[in-house]
Amino acid sequence: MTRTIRRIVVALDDSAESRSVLEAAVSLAARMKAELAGLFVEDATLISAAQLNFIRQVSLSGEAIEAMDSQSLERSLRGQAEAIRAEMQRAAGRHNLTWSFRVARGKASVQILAAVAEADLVIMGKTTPAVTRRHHLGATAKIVATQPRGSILFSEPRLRRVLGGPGPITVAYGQGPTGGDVLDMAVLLARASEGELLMLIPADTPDDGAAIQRALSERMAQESLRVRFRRCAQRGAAALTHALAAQRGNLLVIAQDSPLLGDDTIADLIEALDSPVLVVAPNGAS
Amino acid sequence: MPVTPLPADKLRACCDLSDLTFETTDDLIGGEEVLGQDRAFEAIEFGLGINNRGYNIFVLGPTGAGRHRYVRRLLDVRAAKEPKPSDWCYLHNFDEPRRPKALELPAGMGRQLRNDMTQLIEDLRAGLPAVFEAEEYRNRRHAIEQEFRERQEKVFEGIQEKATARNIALIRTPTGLALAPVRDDEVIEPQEFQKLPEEERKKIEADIEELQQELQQNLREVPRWDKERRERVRELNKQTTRGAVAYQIMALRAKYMEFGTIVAYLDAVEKDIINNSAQLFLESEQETPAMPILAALQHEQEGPRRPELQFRRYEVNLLVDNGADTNGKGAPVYHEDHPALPNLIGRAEHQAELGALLTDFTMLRAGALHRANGGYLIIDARKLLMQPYAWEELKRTLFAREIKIESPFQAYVSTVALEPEPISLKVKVVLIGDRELYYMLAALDPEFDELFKIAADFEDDLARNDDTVNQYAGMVAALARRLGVAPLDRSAVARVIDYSSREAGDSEKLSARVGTVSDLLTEASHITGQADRRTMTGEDVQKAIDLRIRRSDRIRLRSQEQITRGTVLIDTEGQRVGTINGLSVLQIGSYAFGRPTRITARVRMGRGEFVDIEREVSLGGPTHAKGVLILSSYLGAHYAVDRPLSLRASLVFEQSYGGVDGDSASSTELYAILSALSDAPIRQDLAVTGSVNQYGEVQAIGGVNEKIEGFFDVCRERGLTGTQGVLIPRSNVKHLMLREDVVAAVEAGKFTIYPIATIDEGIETLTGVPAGDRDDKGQFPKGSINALVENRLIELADARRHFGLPAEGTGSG
Repeated sequence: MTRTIRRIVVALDDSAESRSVLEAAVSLAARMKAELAGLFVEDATLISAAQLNFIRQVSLSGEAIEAMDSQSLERSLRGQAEAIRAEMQRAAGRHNLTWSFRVARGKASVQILAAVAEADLVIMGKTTPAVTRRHHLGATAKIVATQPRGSILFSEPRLRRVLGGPGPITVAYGQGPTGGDVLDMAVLLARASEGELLMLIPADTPDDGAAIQRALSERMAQESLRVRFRRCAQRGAAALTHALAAQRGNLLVIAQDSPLLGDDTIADLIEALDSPVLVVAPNGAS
Repeated sequence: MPVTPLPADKLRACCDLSDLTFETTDDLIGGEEVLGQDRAFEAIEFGLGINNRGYNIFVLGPTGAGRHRYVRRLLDVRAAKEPKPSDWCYLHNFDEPRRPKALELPAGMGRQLRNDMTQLIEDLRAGLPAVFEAEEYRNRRHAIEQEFRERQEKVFEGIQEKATARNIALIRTPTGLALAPVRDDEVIEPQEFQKLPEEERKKIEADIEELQQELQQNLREVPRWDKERRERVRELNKQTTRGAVAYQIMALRAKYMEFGTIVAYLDAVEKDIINNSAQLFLESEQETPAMPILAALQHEQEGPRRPELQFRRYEVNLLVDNGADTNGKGAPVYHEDHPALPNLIGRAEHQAELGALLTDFTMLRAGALHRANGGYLIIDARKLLMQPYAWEELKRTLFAREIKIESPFQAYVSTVALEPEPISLKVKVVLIGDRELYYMLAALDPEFDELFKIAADFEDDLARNDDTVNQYAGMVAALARRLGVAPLDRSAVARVIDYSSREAGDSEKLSARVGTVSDLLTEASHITGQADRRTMTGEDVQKAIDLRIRRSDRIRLRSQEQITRGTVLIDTEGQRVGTINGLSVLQIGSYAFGRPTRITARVRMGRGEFVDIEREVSLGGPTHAKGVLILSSYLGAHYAVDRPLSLRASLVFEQSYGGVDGDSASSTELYAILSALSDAPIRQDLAVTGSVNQYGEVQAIGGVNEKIEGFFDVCRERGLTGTQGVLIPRSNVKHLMLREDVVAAVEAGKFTIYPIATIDEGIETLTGVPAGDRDDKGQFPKGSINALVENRLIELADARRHFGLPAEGTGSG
């Protein structure tokens, strides 16, 4: 296995969730000894709206309706960017990380997908600042999840770290075009977390499962990792969620086109799971 | 009639070894460490026996008299027979947190209650989360959350749907929410919007306005919904907790059912836990705000929660634990060695947090009065008076009979501070101090007598007789055992006893200052050990005494050196008119030594003036001035009483620059004046000490031993001639405890001590000329000192009268 993670991009905004994602990213970068780049996206939709002079904004208390002017909006966005940059500086300083920070303007999903090209791993929150909470998965995360490129980690804002939890790093094994990348990434994370690696094997029969397990065991023999295998006969987001909960897995590494998804999409899985999910895109997509 | 010198056996009391009927102090058992203090003991016993207010005790007396040790021992014995007093606790006041409640419990029960409350909270912390994690609670909680979430979602999604149907998007801005027209999921650019027909533009603006109003109305409802949700959750939490807590507290209530105050406290605890259960016992408990943005705001405003601190309110602050085995069996006897105000009345400690100093009832700490409550408190009076506010607060507390923990600055600084409920006080305070302090307090503090009605006055010394000598030997034995020093043989004990007499400055007394003897034993034992012996001898004790003197006598040696080198003029041979060797004592620390000082007198005609040069230049103290006035009165009344005293005499301590006080040189000064008036030279091989009264009687003075030794040392340095000696008041003979070398010199006829009763005896000894008594005609014998003095005074008076007559050939008319 020759894959390494040298540069991590973390997508940030001004939300409390985003600060948790930042902490998780800093902690992961420190464990991987990787450079961390912060990406703050100024929402183009918001800027366009501010240019319409009849648009008003309603305060969250509902007590005030006031005009939205571009200048004050831009000032607010700059303030938010500066605040999150300062927070990143403090967090990176605590871990002595190499770090950078940049501000981009446009649609958040577009900017995040563009950042994949410049990083070995992109981290973003599952949720984005939303008006309501009905959906676990934010709109931006949903777009990014359905059009993945490279490796994107959807962090769970409740958890302030990605690695180091009590459970194993879990990998949804698949023999597709990204099977090798998925396994490499999972091994990297398991090694960094100094924990166990749990491999979920898609196999309808025990014999099939045993055959895959043998092959994987040979492959994993040189990795000096504690590895466990669990056969998954069921497919779909619900089955994977159940398997992960049963094994107390704390991070799932999965290919965007994993056969274990069954008829569900990767977005469905991310939405269903309460743990972070690292999605690895198929070859050629990145 | 010549004065008979003192024989050697009168110069020092020596302990007779044959009176000591033991080999070493190991043979002596049961000796008392404090002797001769019967009156003080009776006073203490009397004071301890009266329980009325104000019958506290002030033990006064010299340092080292064993006051602390005796008082402690007496109180320990007495307290052991008395019942253990109550435990005292401070509890949280759920109604008024800044006024913690005091709780009195039988000894040992405070600890039980504290442990029970700790266990209760531990049990609840372990058990209640499980109750909250149970499926029943989770489902009910989830239903509430879901209901309210759906209510909000429904409203906002309704708006969102309406907006979407009209091609309007609901977007979040940095400070709120806005509605904007969209086309193909993108906000319409301003240029594009302007290109729209006016009618369409107006419709969009009207739609947005309408939706905006609806949005605003609903946003205003959010806090109300959220409050309603919290109340529902809180009620659910109360219901969930009530059962579990009631079961736990019921057991405690049954255990303490005889104690109404505890039961009331448990009721308050139960109520508080039920009201705050979820916040207290669920670390993850955060009431979920309705909107994500509100969660972020809440976190920023309140910061992370610290659940540990919230459990403090259920702790029992066991201020005084009289149930502990370490506190002995009976009433407490507490000695406060550092009686600063907080150590006396207790204090509220503070914890620094984010730049502020915080406190609560768990940080209240007991003071000496709390610990001694129900028993006895011993305090060193000097230390107490040295501490700011301590004396006043002790008095206030004793008057009020209750202990109130408060900062001395609480009355002056208007900050919010704890005001713990006062604790009732019943304590016997024993102050130990020196006499000066006692008399000062009695004179200056009108409240002192009201609070310290019993004075126990320790003696400085005790009579030396066969009984006390044996008791003293027993005391030395007891001290040696306690100090763990080598046992003393008879010679060592005898030496210690003689040393004690010397310390008392009286051959018929023994010093009651046990502390000095303790130090001597420790030092002598060290010498014994260095000599690799197991038993301390008289030589060891003497060496310890010598070393002690050697360590302290640098100044004495320098002073003596100045005399032997002739820098300070002191003659020890020959005769001089109007010049005499006086003796003075210098006290440096605990060491005193004597040294001779030349005193001279000059006379001339005058109007009865006695010029005390020391006084004139403010180097003489009032007592010295008094002595000079007395001797002038003696002269005026003793000689030529029918004539005006017509002399002017001046007196001076030669080469004295450090000031003089005391009247112990008044007889010496008188001798010098008599010599000057009679022109009879005074022997310079003698030195003199003693005060005089108006009738010419020589009176006792202090430091007689040091004074004699001071002159002896100068004479010995120059070589003893056999004629040298010292004149001392006869009334001081009993105080003689001279060094062995002085006694030996007297025994060998090389030095002489003259006991003098009158000025006449003294002047005869000093001049070798009879003083002379008046005959039937009132005349002094011709050639006697008194006759010479009187004649000179008559001459001076006549001469003065002559000066007062008008000159021949002059007159009126």
